[in-house]
Amino acid sequence: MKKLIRYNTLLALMMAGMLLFSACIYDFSPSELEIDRNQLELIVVEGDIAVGDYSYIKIYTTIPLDTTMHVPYITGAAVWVEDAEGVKIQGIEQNPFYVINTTGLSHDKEYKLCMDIPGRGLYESKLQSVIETPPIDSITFSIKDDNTELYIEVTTHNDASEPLYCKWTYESDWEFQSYHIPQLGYSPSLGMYELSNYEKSLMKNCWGSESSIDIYIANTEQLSQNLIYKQKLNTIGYADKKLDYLYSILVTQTAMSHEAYVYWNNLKKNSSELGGIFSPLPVEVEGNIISVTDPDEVALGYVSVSTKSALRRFITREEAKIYDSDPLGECSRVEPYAKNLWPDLYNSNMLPINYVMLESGQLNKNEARWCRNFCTDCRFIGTKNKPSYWPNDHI
Amino acid sequence: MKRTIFALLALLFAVPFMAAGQDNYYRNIGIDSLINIFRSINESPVYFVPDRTSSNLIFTVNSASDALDREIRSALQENGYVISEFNGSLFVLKSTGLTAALPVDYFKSEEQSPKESARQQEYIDALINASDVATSQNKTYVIGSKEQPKKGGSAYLSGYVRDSRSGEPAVGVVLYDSKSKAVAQSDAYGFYKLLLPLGECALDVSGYSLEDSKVHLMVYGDGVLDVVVKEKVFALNSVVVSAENTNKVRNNEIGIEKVRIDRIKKVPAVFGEADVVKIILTLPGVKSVGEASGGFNVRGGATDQNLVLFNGGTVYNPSHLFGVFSAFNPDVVNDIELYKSSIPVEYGGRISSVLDVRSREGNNKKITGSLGVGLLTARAHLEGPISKKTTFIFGARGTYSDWLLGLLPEDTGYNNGTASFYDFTLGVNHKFNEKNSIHLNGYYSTDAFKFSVDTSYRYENANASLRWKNNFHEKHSMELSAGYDYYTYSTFDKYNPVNSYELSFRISQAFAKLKFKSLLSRSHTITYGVEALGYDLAPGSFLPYGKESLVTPKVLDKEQALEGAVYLSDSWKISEKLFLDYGARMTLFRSDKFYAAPELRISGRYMVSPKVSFKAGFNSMNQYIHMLSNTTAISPTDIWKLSDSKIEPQTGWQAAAGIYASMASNRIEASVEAYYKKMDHYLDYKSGAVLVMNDNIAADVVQTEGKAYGIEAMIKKPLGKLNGWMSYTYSRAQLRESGRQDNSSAINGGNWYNASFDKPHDFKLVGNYKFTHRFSISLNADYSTGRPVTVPIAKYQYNGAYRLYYGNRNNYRIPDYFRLDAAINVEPTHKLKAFTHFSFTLGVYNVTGRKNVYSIYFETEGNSEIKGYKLSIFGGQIPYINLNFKF
Repeated sequence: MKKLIRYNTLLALMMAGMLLFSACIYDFSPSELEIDRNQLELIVVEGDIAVGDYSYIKIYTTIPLDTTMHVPYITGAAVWVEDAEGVKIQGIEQNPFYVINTTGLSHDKEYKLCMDIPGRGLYESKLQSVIETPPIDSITFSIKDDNTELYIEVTTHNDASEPLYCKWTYESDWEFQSYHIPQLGYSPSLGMYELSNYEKSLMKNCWGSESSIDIYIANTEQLSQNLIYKQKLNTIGYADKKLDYLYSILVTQTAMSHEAYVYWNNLKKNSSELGGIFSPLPVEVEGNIISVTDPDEVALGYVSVSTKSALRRFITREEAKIYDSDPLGECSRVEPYAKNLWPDLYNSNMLPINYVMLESGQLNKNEARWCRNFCTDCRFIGTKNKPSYWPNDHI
Repeated sequence: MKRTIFALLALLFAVPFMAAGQDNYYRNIGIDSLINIFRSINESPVYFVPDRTSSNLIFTVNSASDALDREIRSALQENGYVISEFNGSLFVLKSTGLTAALPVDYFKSEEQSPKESARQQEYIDALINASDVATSQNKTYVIGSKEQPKKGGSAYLSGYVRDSRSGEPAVGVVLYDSKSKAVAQSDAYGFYKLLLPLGECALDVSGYSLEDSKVHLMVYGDGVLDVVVKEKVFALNSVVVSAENTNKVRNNEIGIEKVRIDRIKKVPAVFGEADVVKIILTLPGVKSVGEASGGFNVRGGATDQNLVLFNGGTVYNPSHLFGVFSAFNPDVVNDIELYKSSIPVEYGGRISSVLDVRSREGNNKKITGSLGVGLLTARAHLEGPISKKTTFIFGARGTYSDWLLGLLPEDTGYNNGTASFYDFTLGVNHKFNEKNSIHLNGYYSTDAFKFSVDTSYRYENANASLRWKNNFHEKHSMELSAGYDYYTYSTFDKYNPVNSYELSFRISQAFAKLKFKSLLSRSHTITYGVEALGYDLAPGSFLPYGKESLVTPKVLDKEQALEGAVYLSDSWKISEKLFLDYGARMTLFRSDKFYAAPELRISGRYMVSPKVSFKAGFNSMNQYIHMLSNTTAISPTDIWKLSDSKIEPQTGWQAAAGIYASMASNRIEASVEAYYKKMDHYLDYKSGAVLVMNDNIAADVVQTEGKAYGIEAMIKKPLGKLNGWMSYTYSRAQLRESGRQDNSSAINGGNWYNASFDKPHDFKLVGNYKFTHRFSISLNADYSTGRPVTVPIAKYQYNGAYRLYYGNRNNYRIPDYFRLDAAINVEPTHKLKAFTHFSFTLGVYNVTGRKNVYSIYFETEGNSEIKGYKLSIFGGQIPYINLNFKF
């Protein structure tokens, strides 16, 4: 049914598109809303009780729509996990998290998260039994017919009789390389100089990273087996640097209750499926956090109690096939420039590659070939933060 | 009460008449002089029957000698006279505005049997054989037997009103006897029934865009008289009082709107498609949540609370192309009626309004048809006689809108999409005799659309009905109808082979209705009847699509129910000034629970003066089928659900009152109506409810109560060079969750909240100005307060991105709505002999190009930003052209 709703959005978009000579969508600043904000600071609780692992909980408050302030984390709270008998496991504060050692929780008990927030009172999540997350069977990818996009997909299953409800998050890292391997460096103080091999390496290999933003969920309610087959996660475009050399995605899977699924589904709808003609209307997203001190107070967030499973997959440029390293021709455009232009080139985000070779075979050191700086030095668009697990010795 | 609103009928001005040639020039002569000239140039004897209006006529004839005869004939014809030749004599008769057939048995006493070929011939026969040809002011029709006059002082006259050219029933024609104040209006079949005092009387016959005329009668007893009316071809300067503009002052019902198809065709519409349903959005008290949304809201009612009938069959999704167009072919539609307040007792089943759309019966003289071409659709219709007593009308409409999708930018991914729709309408009508006729109607519409090869949607409406109308007695008539209505939608999605599915939903219903109308006495007319409606819903089947699909086939249990009703109402003329319509309808419903509820329908009218009336009404309604939706507009995948032990019937009542006045010699009608309405057990969705394939849907909807009130002011000028209407409405519509013990988790804490169609201020203008007979311009303006929407009031970072916290439902309003449309209409030439008539409309929808906001929404962009968007559906001017050929 999720699909159905999704297509309702598509329908709306299509409708808008169909009337393309007139229909339009305009940006609109949330600050234009003339609504009373009256300092609405609701408590938000983010994180799950991860059975068999450490649980990382974040507590903060909502902020007004039109501000760009940092997340107002709540510090100094007492946070613990409690079972039905009242046995508590206290957490410790590790800004921005409260970390609770839940490695030893029983799979057969019920647990809840409790928070005593200074100045606000006591909050807790509903008491829930532990949900077992099946392992991820595979992470695959498929390529769109027109070779413009690559979709990462996850497949999982279990043999339970109850439907399976899953949510995924991912952390991805990728290594990419500069388009050119330059021979020369340039700086205003030193002028043109030959690069050392070490410097060349620094400029050649870079890394990027990204965590999931969208809400990825699926269920097997409608299916005869608990098989979630090739559920689409993120999409990577054909010119994305993620596919340049080596891409890694670590998918974390969390099984959850029907109730939790409804919560995440509503949150997803509220985040990305609104506004069209046949789109669902925004809904009130009720989580499972209540204020014990003031039951009428609204608190946001849903804390599940479950085990988690994770799987990493690497994808190489060769496997991805669709990658185009320079779709706009920015890097292949390399022009020779005379020495007097070099300072200006440097100041307009260009870097040298090599000297122009004369017919005699000698280098003309008064003329060098330059291109956009990120084509020779990947650090302009990436970092040197190589993940610890990275399977090569690139520096 | 000598002065009636029909007094002005007597005034008829001649059209200035000019002709070529200089030989004969007669200026400002009266009709007697003209007839004398006519006699002088004709060898045959000329008989002329002066009537009451003829002495007012002034003619100017300016013509060459050889053309004089022709010019005089046409001058007379233009003023409603017919020149007939019979037995070598010429008769000039004021009778074409009204050619009347005599009682069937009238001619039986005559030697000459009536010839089918020419009513005119019969008429002449009658004149020749009648003794009063020379002395009568006009032909007087004898009703009943002179030898055996009826006892009791009054007699019933009934018959059909038909159009002179096409022979089709003329609907809504008023027959009025100023002496006895007896009045009747022809119904959907053109049938009328009137109780007249014995003796001489003169019936005024008037109808919208018809030539007004008079029928003189000598009533001795009950009888039958068919009346033939002629459509006005030219916009004369004559003062015409039509049925339409005095309707509101004179009829008993409150909150009723009638719109004729010729009006509908002139109002500018998006893409130039004359739209039978969209026209009602130009009427006061009718709103929609936005452009291109399928439904409409009447006086604060929800979209599913409107009963949409097409020739008696219920149409569940009367829209095409996601609601951009309505699903009725304008070429076969005759007129529409919208009951906003007092709903006649024979209608029931929805608590807000009834929209009754009727198709024409078809020309009974010759085969005619039309072809129309617009930006997105093409349509055709054909009508005519099958035999002497049988006519048919067939209409088809289809789209070629795929090309629009093809224009889409590639990155939308929809340029491979397709959208198409078709609809077909068929009517066959057979008149056995004066008393019996049957009407067969069929309707089918389908929409299919696809975004990619992976997903498709489809929905269908189908109706078939058969009606038998029997006027078995002078005082009593009966209508028996039975039919079958069908609505289904299906969608398939095969993007992921494991999850591929096909989903479908279906409503089918069969109905039978029996209705009687009896004229008990001059002051009482009763309507009574019984009806049954059987529902059969397949509320959802969810099946695997393709071999690899793991989807568990799931078919929700069928829902079946029987709805029945008996009703009785009386139209009571208490005095010359005071009328009362009162009735009751008992509704019964059985699904897994039995419900029975009485409904009251009362409306009264007091004529303060002949030009001013006051009306008040009360009605209560029950509704046993509900649409469940969690979208703003009617969507193609909305669910309909029958009442059962968990879902109670919706109930509603409305009280309304109004003042109606006709002004400026009855050319302008003004009205003010106010209403208060209460609804119970209206189903609103629960936050996050999934309504499709939900086998415990009662748990995912909430019952709400609703209240609505408003005041509607309207000024209307139905005829003349400048015609149209203007209205202002102030209205509110609010809902509140009900039936819950604990209000803390109720929608908006159990408090009243604005319905999504609550748009307090509303101004509407529909205008048309005729420059000449052929050229006119139309203007359409619409202003309303923005509709309520739900907007976020805070945000928070969650799961890697900003999420929104939405406030109370409908806590904000989108900007006000304003739109102006304009069109130029070019009518066909009036050369009646031309084989084809060509007309076209050129217009611009949203002339000012205002970017009316349809919705405001917010999305998470990246992980750091909440972006707001305003969606405008028609964010610019939309020019259009529409071509029509008639043959």
